[in-house]
Amino acid sequence: MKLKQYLALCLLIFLLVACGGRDSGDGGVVLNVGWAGSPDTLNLGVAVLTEAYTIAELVYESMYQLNLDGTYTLEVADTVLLSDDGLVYTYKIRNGITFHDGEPLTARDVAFSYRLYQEQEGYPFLSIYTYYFDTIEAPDDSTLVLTLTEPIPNIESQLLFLYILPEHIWSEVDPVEYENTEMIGSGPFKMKEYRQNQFVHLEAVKNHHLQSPKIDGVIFRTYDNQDALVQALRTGQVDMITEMPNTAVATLRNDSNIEVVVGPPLAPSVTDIIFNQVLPENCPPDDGVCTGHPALLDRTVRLALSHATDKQQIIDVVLLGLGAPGLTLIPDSLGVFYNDSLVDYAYDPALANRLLDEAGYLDTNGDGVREMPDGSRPLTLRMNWPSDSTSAPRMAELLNSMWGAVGVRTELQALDPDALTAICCPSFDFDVILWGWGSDPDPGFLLSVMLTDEIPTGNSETGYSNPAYDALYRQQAVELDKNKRIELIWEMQRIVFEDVVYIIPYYAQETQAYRVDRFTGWRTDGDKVALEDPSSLLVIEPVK
Amino acid sequence: MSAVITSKAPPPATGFLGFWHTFRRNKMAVVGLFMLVMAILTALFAPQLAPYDPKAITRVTIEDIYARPSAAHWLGKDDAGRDVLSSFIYGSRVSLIVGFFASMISIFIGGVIGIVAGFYGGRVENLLMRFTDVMLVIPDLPLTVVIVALTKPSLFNIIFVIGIVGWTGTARLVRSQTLAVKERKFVLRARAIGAGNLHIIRYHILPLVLPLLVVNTVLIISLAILNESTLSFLGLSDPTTLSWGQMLNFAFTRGAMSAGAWWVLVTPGLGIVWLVLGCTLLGQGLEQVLNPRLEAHHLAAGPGMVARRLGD
Repeated sequence: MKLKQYLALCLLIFLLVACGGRDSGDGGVVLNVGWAGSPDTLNLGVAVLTEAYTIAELVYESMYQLNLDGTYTLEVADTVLLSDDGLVYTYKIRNGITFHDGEPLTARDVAFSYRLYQEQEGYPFLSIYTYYFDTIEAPDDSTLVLTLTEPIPNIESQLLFLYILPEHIWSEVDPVEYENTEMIGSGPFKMKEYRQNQFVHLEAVKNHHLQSPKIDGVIFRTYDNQDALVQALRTGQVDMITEMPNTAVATLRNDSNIEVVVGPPLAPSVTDIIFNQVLPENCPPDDGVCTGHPALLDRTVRLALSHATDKQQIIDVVLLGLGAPGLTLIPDSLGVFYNDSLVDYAYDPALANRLLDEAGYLDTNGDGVREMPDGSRPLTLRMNWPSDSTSAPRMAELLNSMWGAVGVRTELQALDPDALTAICCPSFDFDVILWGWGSDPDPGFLLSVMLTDEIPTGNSETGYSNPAYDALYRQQAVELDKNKRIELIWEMQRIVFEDVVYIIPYYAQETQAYRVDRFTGWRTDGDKVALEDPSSLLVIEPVK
Repeated sequence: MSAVITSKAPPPATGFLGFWHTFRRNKMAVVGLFMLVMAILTALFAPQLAPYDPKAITRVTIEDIYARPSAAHWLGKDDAGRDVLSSFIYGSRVSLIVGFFASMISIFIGGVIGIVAGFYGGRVENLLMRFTDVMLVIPDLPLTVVIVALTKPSLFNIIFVIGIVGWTGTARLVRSQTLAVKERKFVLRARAIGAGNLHIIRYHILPLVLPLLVVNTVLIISLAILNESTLSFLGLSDPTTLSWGQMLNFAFTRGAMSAGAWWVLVTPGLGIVWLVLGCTLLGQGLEQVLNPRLEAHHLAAGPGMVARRLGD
């Protein structure tokens, strides 16, 4: 037994040594990236996790690419022509693009892919991008004609995640069941090997039509927890980590071989405190349970809870200061779309107490917890969060004491993400949830989750319903004048801010780190931080 | 007849003094008792012992997170800037409360099922023991995780859940002891003079099963404490309940390991080891004291244990 353990340990050490560092064997110069996740599937039509999109960004191409400064450039097309009515986009696809299997990429592949995303009902998340598509035609191999039903202002971000798939492969398979382990695309990296929850090995495409990577390959290695990730970077098993706990920032900064990068994330993300405020008449007839606390339907209660929430305290303890107080679901990393003219509700427990007193939520039985004005039930709220979150437990603990100070009791419980989805939406079987959204570079998606139409789909977490807001949403979606659209979006933020649909505790910053003794050229000069983005992976070189 | 009786060794001193006399000689039990008493005193006097309020609102920055042990904070600070020593002292309360109350539940259920099954036998025994077997083969941890996830994670629920999964071993032990006791002559005699079942259980079975139950209680306390720590570590308990498992959970999820903050990990870990070891030592010691069958055979004993002189 002892001997066996010893042998196993030796084997483990051997393996660790073997995978660490740069591969000088037949793999050439390989970058090792550590992350705490893994793509759930390589079929982007059904993928949920951001890791799948990180890989897709390297392996596939789409019509546009997003730069670190937030601008877009054409990727598979040379030129684009827009008709005067704003409905018809004519793209000239570049010549000489080939898929990784050697077949040429033509306009027909683009048209095939867009039709697939538009028509396939088994693809739950991509249909919002094809919502305004009317017809998609490829009259010849180098021309794609996209006709919309209405002119839209944000064609770039709509096409950004519609990756171009090879028709000769995808027309032969069931597009929902297909696992896509070969992942034939046309991007600067091609799939070599994928093992779920272990690693993703990508190989560089030499002589790529746009830009070839200077390295020979990249391996994304999955680590079980973020501590292991930090250790892997410190010991040199990996050269870069895409995520890390803020608690390790100080430790890593003290390591002379490691550079910590902190900044706004390229993919905007937002953390939210969700109030269940679905009205009985909006309760989804099929899936709705709608057991939310009636007090949360009252704006005064939500407002009082805002005033009782010390966001700076949460940022200090949960994020160690690496974040900014949040206002609405539209984060500051969305740039011009972010309404910075709103003034946040101040942390003022006395005011919160007064608001609740005046609205009749009094503690009549002296147990420290307020009751409903009619005395029917105490202001005891269930509070849930996903059990895989490392920040939510501390936040829950803080909220429990902050809200407790104004007479609102919370019952805390972490739930498995699946269980949380089940009680969240569209069943609305909760009071308060601590969760978050990842987003597109365009605010359209985040704005859509507060629409009345999204209550039965499960995208709306709050059950918020406001016809004025819904009307503005439809207006901004087709507003072509950028400044007018921003004005509409600012107005929408003002409405949801005043209705206190959510409490947004903070907009967190991204923290990543890389070893300075392995590769140079990391793009840390942009406005956004994303070391795993092609913008870095195409230009980094090994340290000589 | 009377000569035979007087020729025997004097009846051992009965009551607490006699028990203490035997108990004292068992070093293991004494050490275990000492460890447990220390922990109980710590928990009782937590407000006096703890240098800081572990629930106080604090602020931290990247620079002073996981502050090292210092004169002001003997065991350093945790990720939220709180004094580890104070959290540790208060954390003992939850472990002990859960340990004691959960084992009470376990012992009650296990005792009742064991005695009823052993005493009544037949179909009742079959039914109860097969039920016990079923509960025995269900792995404890997944079952507790599922039940806790379905109920609200209050301290009461944690106690209840740990209590209702931990009784199987006791039930089997108590049943076999009951089976042995009920065949004894005095039980048959009591029955012959017309004593009812309840009377026999109350006055003849229970007193002889009781020592076993006491020993089991102490042993199950340690299991319950471990279970509570496990559940808290897995993040299934209420995060506002300050327990050692909770401290470990926060240390683990909030990067104490990469920060090299051993004091946050080692302190609650040692606390759990201390308490569990104390209970186990005490339980095993008590077992030897209370269960005559486990006492050393007189031939194996040293000179001090040789049979006493007649008439002494």
